[in-house]
Amino acid sequence: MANIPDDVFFATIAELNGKLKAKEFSAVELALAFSERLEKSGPRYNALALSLREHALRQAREVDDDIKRGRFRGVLQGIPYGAKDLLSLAGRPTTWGARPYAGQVFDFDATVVKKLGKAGAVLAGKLAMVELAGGGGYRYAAASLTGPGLNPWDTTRWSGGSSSGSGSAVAAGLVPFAIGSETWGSILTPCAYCGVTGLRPTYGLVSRYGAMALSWTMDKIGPICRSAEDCGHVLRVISGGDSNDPGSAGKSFFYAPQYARKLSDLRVGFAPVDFAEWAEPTARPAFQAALEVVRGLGVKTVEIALPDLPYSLAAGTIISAEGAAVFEPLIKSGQVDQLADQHQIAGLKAGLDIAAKDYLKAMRIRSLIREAMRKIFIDVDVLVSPSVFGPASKISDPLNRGFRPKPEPKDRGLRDLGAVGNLAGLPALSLPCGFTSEKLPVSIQLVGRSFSENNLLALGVEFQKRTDWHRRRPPV
Amino acid sequence: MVRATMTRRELAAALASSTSLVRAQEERKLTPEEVLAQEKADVRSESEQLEKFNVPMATEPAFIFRP
Repeated sequence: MANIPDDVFFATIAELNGKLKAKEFSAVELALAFSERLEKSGPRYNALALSLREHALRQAREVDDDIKRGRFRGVLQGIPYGAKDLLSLAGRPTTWGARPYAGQVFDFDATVVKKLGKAGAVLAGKLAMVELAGGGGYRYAAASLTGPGLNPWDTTRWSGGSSSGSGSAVAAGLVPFAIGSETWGSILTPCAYCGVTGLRPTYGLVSRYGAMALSWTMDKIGPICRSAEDCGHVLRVISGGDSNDPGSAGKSFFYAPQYARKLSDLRVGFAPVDFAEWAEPTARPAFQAALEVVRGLGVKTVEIALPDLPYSLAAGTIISAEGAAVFEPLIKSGQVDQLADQHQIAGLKAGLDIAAKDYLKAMRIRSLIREAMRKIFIDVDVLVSPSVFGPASKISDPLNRGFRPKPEPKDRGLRDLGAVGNLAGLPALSLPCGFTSEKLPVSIQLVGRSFSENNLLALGVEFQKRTDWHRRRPPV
Repeated sequence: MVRATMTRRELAAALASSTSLVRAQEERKLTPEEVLAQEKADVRSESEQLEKFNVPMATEPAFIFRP
């Protein structure tokens, strides 16, 4: 049994792949080391929904056999990972983070799980999440079957949601990468709070077959990793058309940073007010410094602001209406009352009251938003803004009481970029960019046109060559 | 003589007590029925906000039907 040094738990996918090829350890030894670490430390952060040690060892044995025979299946071969517990794995519980579904078992694998398996990645565990990915709107971090997601940087703080376990497990070195999902903020928020890199792909690029639905028109699945480069490797494997997903765009993604546009050709839009006024004061120095790094990449920077449209109102109405429709049987059966968060229970019930005219109005506003973004992306290629304007909130704090600057800035800047990006189905890359004075991580997001992931990743890789925030480790 | 101004300390104390009062009221455990009533009121309020926002008549909803 090889002795796995601590550094390995914080290595990137490419680094781990190199060590496997160099036979520093076998895939079985690596799977065992990560499984043990996940089982031991996962509960410390309420990050683990289900350990899959035996499953992982079986997959790893197959990888070792392949490597012995010289069959190399790509950079993910033999790399352990965790999947948000809204992705099905045949024959094992898939709880969606919610008590009413605690005993739910599917007889098929989600498409992303299947694709990762074919690439030789090793599924080490299912990771905790906010119940029903937050459908109905939750008020407290404790809205989860496994308790509140605790942040490895400070366990009195939240790990973010709804991909809580995916964010904290990657940050604490319990898995090299994880799969999360986002409807509105569920990849970018845990990435920002936990100081890891995450990619929300263009809507339709990654199949959602076998994943819990919350909002058919807004759900996306994406990677949470240690670096932008790792996100590129994982996205290449999990993307692609799928006739089982009606929202599939039928497109694949080829991670080809060498063919991305030259950075000097890229026009990056930003709003100074985001960094100077909307951001929490303790996070402003980190955000301002990150903006300077972006400028230093040689890109052209352009000041920009979003047009005045009701972004949050439209996003909230669409998610509530679709979520209530998805979970109507749960609501009508009364089992919804088993959820942990009272506001979420009530939000799901009230969602059934949303009139068709209101849902359609929100979807028509969404068309205006899509058109507005099309116009913005004539003038710029990428938008940059804080992923979240401040660090992780305290576990006990209600989530509707976040920081709001007083007096409120007159300029809206790119403040609603999260709602906009999700409504318009745009890709976003979240990059750790420093720490607050309380030593909590914060991140910036890069948002681009649909299917422009290679541009975002190229910019992200360059940003991470010039900074080491993504290499920092929490005190685990 | 009646003093019309407050010291900074008195002002801080007054503000703190009013903030805690508001917070205490907010944090009073609402019954499930009260929370539901609140959420339903939010749905109505959002409906009113949507109604006020004018969308050009030709704008179609942002989904595509693929036969």
